[in-house]
Amino acid sequence: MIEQIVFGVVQVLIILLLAPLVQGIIKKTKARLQNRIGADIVQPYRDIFKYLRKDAVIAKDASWLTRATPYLCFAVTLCVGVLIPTLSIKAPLGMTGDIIVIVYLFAVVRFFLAITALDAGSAFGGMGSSREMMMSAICEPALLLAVISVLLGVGKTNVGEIVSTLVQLDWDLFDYGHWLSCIAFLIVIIAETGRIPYDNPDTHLELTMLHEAMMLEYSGRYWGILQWAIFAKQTILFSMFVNLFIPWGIAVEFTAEALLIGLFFYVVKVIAVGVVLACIETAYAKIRIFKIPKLLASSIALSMLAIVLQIAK
Amino acid sequence: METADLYLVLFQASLICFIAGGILPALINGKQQIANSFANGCSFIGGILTTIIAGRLLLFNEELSAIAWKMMGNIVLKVHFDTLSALFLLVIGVMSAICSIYAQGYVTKYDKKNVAGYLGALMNIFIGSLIGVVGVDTSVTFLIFWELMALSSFCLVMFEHENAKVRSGGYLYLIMTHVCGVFLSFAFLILYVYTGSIEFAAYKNVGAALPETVKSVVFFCFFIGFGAKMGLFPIHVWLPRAYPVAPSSATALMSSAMIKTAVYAFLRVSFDFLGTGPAWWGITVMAIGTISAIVGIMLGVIQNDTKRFLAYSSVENMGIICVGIGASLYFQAVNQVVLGALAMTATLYHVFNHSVFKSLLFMGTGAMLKATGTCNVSQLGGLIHRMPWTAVTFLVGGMSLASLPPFNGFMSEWALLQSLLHMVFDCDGAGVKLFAALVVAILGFSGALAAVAVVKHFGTAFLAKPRSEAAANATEVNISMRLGMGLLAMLSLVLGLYPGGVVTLINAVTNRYFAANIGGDMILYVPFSSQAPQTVSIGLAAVVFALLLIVTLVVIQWSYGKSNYVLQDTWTCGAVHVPKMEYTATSYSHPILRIFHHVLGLSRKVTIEKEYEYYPKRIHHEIDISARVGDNVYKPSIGIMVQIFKQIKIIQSGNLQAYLSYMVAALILTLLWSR
Repeated sequence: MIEQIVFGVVQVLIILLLAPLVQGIIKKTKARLQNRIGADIVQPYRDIFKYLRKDAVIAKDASWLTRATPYLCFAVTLCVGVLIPTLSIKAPLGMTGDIIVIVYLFAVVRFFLAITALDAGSAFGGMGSSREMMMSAICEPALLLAVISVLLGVGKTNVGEIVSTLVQLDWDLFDYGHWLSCIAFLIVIIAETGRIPYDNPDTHLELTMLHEAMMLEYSGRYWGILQWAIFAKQTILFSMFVNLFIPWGIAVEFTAEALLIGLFFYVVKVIAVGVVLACIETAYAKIRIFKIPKLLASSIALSMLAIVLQIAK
Repeated sequence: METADLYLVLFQASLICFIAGGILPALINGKQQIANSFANGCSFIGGILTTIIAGRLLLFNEELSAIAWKMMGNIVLKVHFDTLSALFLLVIGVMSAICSIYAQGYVTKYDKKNVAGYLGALMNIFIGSLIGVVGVDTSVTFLIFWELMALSSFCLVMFEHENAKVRSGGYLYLIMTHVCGVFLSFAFLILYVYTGSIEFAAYKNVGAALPETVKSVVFFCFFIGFGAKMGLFPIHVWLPRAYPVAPSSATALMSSAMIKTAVYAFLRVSFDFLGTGPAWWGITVMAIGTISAIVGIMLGVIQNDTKRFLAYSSVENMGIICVGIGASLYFQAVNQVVLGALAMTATLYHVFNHSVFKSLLFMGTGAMLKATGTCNVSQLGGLIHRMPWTAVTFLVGGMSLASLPPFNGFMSEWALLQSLLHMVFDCDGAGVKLFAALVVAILGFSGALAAVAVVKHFGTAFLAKPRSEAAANATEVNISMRLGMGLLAMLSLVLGLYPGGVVTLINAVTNRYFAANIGGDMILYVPFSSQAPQTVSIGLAAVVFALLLIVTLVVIQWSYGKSNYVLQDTWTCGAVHVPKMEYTATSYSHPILRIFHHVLGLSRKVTIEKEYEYYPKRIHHEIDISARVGDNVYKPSIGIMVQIFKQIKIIQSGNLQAYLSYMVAALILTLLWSR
């Protein structure tokens, strides 16, 4: 029991500490690929700690929701953090929730962000909120189908158990179905983290904005917390991706040695996913908002193919 | 006192409440205050009593048989409550008690019209008929109460009949109710032909005795009949027109209790009467349910009138319930006991949850309507500052509707998705697997769309600056309305965090059909036979969440001091922020409308009044959404019906002699027949 609690706390801390670093590395990679020097990879830490110290400006018409949402989102995201396996196949609180709970907890985060975007009455917030919710709605079936295509071979919905089954498959994991769902999942992950080609995470003031526009009214400590929550969400999504599709190196036994190796592989894999996303982001342009459904439909098609392959197996 | 006697006394007391509450208030309508309090008091006490009866029946797994009315000799009105009817009795009891608290305050809206007594009396009759529908045990009395329920709810829908919109909605409702009545009578007649009895007891497992085709005909007649009442696609058209026009307290009860009686009746006929059917029944029911869910919510998202949105969302939720019923029918057919129990638990859990959150939302909308005179969100805004209680309860209801944890909507959604996922994993047949996977995806999609709609309605009505004078001058509603909404919000949270209570009650029902127990206390667990039990606990997750939240707050406070903020105008690039700048409800759902305009049938008209080419003086933008069903199915079929009726009209000459001769002819025919 104590062991599990300590493990949970450690996992939350790992995610919290790793999250800004992943963001920093993505930014640095993008900068280098675009022939810029770019900021330090530890810049996101500096930003967050600076923001936490600052006073905030809040719109006059805003309600308590604006003040509550950053903390709510932060805590919910960390809550998801203990439901997933990261460096070990055991999730600290695996029995409280499975992959459905994870999907819906992220939905809670998005729900509150979207609602508070309307709180200040700015048209930017409303626009961002409307588009983000639209995109997430179309994302939902894509995400669920991608998840099903992975789960089909396992027959369980607990993420920890899924990963432990997948690890046992070893090299048999290399089959077409699995890689099809891998691509399908990747497409959804890009959408969920609000990156190009869906959304441009670097700009605030463009009419193409989705995610960033929702949080335009935030400043000071609220903004710091919120940003940290969003980095953590990104890291959690990456962890789910690496553990579902490239689970090798994860700690199977619960010993100090295995955990250390697991930690090493976990950090490397998550950062690698970040680098890959940075490359995709540099190579593509942002697509028109009404083309997003087509991209997600392609993810759905891939998942369906993967499901068919799995059923046929 | 013997338990049976206790039940009888309680039941009689509750009946007396409803009958007294159904007659007296109408007689003393002159004294508004007294009539209103008396009527609501009656439904409150009656509701509490029925809740106690139903709760006890379920907890101790008992049955109650009683003679409600001895008309003459052998003609008696009997009621029989087994666990299935007790579960629905519980829903009716709880909801009528809470609705009566709310109605006590809401009725002041009609102060000028002097109708409080009539409304209260109608509500009592309505509740009485609901209890009758779930309680009676012969097909004839069932149809009588079904009709009484339809008529009393019709009167409630027509309550503000001065308005033409109300009348058209009300008549459509009446017509649809009777269309479904035809199918029900037909199905019951077939059952009568095969058994020679009108007793439900004789129908038990009659399915085994029926030929396969007849069985299917009966099943689908019932499905159409009850499906129309549930508001399933494509016979949902009455629902979004009838609901929004009825008084909010009545709509709350209609959406929470009335359409659930159709679920009850459908479960009764499909599981009790027809027994295990072929697998394709389940698949068909699931398919219809899925289509209802997605079409219902898609049409709901684009509504700007909150009541209409909620009505469409009822179509969605009944679709979800239908998917659950279909899944349990399928699992019964293929003999997957645990999954069947899970699907049925999900269905019944969702019946509870939908009752709670939908009546909560209708009450919240009623509060909005009472405070501002409109529930068109594009004229509202900023209500969270003026109506904080309503705002919080509405948010709770909305989150539950969008099936977000920690509220109750999530738990049933989880159970349903879990059973569908295992349909993909564990069932045989590639087609079925693929179908189930698609159903999961579509349900997820409709859930996400529900979230969009909730954000849209909550965001435009309650947040930012008020868009009209009425919204700016709104005040919080009275204490009894707040109490009603508050109770439901609490219930919503409790049902979400602690599934154990309600799952224990539901087990009393599922055990009748499936030999498996879905366990529950703080943790809900599904005992799969092939693998380790699947568990979920939002309660524990909520504890972790609370701990994390507290630690975050404390750590940040401790290391960086108190959080300071200054209030400023919203940044609008230098201009003064006015309500016109806010994003509107129409634009909020516009991206979805545009993406799915093929489904929704969108017609858009833009007229530009211009002085010069590039400087329009005024732009008039009009969007009309016609659900395809309305245009392509209903209008032609109405045309055909009118044609047929014109032919039949010949016999309706209006001539008294002709009518008398019809009667004589009928008499002679009858005599010849019975000779």
